Amino acid sequence: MKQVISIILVLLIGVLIFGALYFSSDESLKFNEYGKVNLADRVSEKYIDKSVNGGSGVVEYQKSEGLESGSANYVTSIIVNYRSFDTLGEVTVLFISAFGVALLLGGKRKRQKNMFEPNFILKHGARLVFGLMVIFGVYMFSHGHLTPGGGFPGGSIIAASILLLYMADNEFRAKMKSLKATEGIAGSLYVIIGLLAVVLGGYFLANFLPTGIVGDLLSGGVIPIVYILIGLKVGSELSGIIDSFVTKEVE
Amino acid sequence: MNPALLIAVPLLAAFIAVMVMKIDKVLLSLAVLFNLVYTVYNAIIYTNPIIYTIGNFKPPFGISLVVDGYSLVGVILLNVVFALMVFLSFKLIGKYAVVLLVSLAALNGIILTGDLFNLFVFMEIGAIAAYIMTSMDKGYKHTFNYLVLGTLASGLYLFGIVIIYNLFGTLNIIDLSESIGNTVYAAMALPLIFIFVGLSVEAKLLPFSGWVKGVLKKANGLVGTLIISAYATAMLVMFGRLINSIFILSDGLKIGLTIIAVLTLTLAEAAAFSKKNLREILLFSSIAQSGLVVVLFLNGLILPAVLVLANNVISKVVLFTVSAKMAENTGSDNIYDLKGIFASYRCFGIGFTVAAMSMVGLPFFFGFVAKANALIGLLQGGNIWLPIVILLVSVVEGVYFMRILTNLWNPGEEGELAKLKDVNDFKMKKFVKLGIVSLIIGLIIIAAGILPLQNIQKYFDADFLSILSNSIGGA
Amino acid sequence: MMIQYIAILLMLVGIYGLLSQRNVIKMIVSLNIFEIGLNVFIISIGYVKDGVAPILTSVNNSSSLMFVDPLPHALVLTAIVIGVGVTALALALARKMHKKYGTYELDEMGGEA
Repeated sequence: MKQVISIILVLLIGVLIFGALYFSSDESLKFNEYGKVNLADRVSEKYIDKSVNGGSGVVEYQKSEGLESGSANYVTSIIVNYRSFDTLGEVTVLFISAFGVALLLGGKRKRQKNMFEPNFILKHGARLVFGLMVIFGVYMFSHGHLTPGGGFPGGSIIAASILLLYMADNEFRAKMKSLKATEGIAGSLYVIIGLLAVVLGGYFLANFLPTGIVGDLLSGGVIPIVYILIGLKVGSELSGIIDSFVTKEVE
Repeated sequence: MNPALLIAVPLLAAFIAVMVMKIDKVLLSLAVLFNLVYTVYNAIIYTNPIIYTIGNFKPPFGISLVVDGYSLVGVILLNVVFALMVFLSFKLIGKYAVVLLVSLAALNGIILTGDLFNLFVFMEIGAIAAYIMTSMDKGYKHTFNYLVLGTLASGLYLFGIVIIYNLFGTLNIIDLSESIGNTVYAAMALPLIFIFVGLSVEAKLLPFSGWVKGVLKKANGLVGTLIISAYATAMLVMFGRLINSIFILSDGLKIGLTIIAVLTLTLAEAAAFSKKNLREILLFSSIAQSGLVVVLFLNGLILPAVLVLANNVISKVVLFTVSAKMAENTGSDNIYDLKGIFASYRCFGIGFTVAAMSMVGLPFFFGFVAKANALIGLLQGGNIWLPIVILLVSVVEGVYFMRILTNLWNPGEEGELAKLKDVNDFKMKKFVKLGIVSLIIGLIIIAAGILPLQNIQKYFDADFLSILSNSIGGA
Repeated sequence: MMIQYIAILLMLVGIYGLLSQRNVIKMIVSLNIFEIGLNVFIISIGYVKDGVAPILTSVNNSSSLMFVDPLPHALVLTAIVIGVGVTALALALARKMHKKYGTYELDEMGGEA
């Protein structure tokens, strides 16, 4: 009985959504169809021209310099520069969920054993792959302003490499104290950079370092520094969550 | 005035407190004190609304924080309630100081923000902090229920925002209210329904407030006051801003929301009337007050709605903390089990009584001023049914509060009083703080009921819409 | 066009799962399906026909080309991370519930109503 009611309710909601989005007859305001979007109607046009605070012509790769947001990756410049406050909130979400998981499953912990005993090749091969994965993760978050990726996927790759070590070895435990210290220091540095910007640039989270040439590694002002901090923070938080789940309370 | 400090300082304190866990309570007290002092100082020197842009980017393209009289009053109310709650329940905090700091930052962010997606992010931070706090009493099933409902609601809210972005091309509330102007678009009906369904779960309107009973029925003083007072303030203040300043609701949508809010008001008061446990009565009364505040916002009466909200929130801090303390010490909060407890503990008995009478709305208390303003405003708008409903509901409220008070002041047979005495003789010292604070709040409630309202009228004269023309960069 | 229909269909499947299942793990999975549908829908809002990915490289080296809208990509990044945080907390709660009641079905958990 409950399933029938659920299906009817869900079908009603579906009909409502489809009708209002795709079959409405109101001519004054229409939901733009897939693909037929004019960017000039939206705020994104100024983000692409990097001319939010005043025009500066066409942006060229490896040629324009001293722009208001010097990163070549437009999505990065939105996340870390124009809408940096949302990123601060997102970092806080991960922080508070990692803290909550540690509180809920808390207490003195000891490692739960895997279901099988890993053999020699698994144990030592995993350490090789661990090194490669960490290098790849660091590459991803330090080049966040030039290539796709950035702090969040990079941090997740580092956490996945630590998960690999947990799976491949029955006695491995990451050092929780240094993980918590990394997390706390990285988070505080992000907010301190924002407060420094109040002193140096006049507004919270303004970009106060010089922004170089678009496309170089050292460009974008504060952006690479913030992405490195975010990558370290996300990596240590996700590793903390993994550790809370793989261990169990000491009897 | 730098409103970003109100959000950045508690966050910084939280990040530092997770590294050095020994000083987390010190950091919590410092951050709460800083917020309180900063908001009161800015309220005293307030002249004109300001829009603070983060990162020095012009408003529709960067995120902006809106500080006008309305949000300033909301922020003061929130920080005062939060400081009271932390002060009264300091011993219950335990290891949860970091969570309280993050939720303080999130609640301030909800009231101050000027961007729809930023509102979503701060609501999620506040919601996750609330899930962690409500698991404090080890009732995991209710927390899971709350989590599922809350996440589904936020998802629907995000869906509504994205459709609005597709229609108008911007997410900033100032830009959006300029684009919408005064016309009612038929295409806006669907996203508005989703946004308000998403927000009503947190704001405790009736069809969606199934989580409240389970979570708060056995809550201790800290968690209960957090959800009933602090979260209710932030959510309802933001709700009022969305309904009144930004979105123009079509008639059908207005009627639908009014029906939901009036149903909340009447059904929750009826439920409160039939219960016998103090905490259940108080939580149903809170749900009803949320419905009343939403009704007032829908009719455009901003000042009376904020007054009713302030009355409800401050009284509930005292009422819920006292009830939770009594339940913790005697093992039950049934009003027939607690007969005559106030006769031996007069201090917080008097505080509780003043708060209860202010909730009902008797003259000389602040609640009377709030409700009188609301009724006069509604009658001036030409509405007859709503004032009648509100008066009937107030009579029901009066009956059950009087029932609570007569039971708690008059000792019954010797038996009940004796059970109380031998538990609490050596705990008398701990109630002194609660008693004194309740007395002080009671006096403030009486004073606010007598003093005139003119000096806070100036905050409501101009809101951020009046500075639209010269703050937005051209598109 | 089809991608938006499929995204809305995924969201509806997630909502159906939440309404009709009573097993804690299945409810968490349905919540995740709902969020995936929502994220795909948000990305599909930003598509411009014949646009290129919004990164300046040595091939697309000028800002006068037609790029896809980068703002929904930023929104989705944040929404995915928030979804991960909520899922982690829900799984921790599920584990505590299993320890306390011994089962993952909400109906068998009895106790307080």
